Amino acid sequence: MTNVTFALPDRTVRRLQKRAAELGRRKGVISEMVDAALTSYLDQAESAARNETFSAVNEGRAVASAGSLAELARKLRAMNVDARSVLIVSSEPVEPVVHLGMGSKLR
Amino acid sequence: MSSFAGRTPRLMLTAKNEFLGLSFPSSGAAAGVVDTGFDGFLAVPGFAFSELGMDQMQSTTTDGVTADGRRIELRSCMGCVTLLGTRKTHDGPVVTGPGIREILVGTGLLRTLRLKLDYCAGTFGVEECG
Repeated sequence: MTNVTFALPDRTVRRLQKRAAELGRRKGVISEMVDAALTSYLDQAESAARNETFSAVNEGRAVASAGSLAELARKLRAMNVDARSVLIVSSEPVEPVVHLGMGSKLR
Repeated sequence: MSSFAGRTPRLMLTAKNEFLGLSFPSSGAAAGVVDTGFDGFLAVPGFAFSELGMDQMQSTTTDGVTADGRRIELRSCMGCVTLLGTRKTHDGPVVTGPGIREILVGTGLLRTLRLKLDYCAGTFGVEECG
């Protein structure tokens, strides 16, 4: 853990203190709230900055890449590559297991 | 583009296979169930996967775990989703597998959206992030 010093508007400090009081004013509760808020903000900012790319792969080699599937499709057509002959993949890692939630109604 | 069907929030959308120029549905939009328990992008029934021509594309397989703990094999193919009333497209893996009988919108697609679910007022609003 690192101690950080920064300035906050009075109104924000009052809201933090009010919430800390509601949570019982236990030691570290304000740090927890600040950590939760900053983590959420940073997750969102990093998500927005994510630059996903899509590639058409043939025998392990990328034939073409683009920032969107539409753009990749245009490139393949321009190259006269049959899209069915390549595997379209994303730069984002594929989850090995996908959880199907409450919408799955197997009978 | 968003509504409740009973108590179930649904998004009206069109899925597209950019590579073969095929859409599902072929006209209009289909209702996708907002499923925050689904951590994929979009799941569709097998007939929709076929109508999108994705059974002709090279695909990958991945394990799916259902709500009752069963494991099923999912076929996955990259597809594009447009929400009714918007122009922005969302690209991601479209999966299908045994027992998937309706379109499920997962958190892989929802992460680009701000959902406002108000069961008190019976309203469901959706907007793009940013």
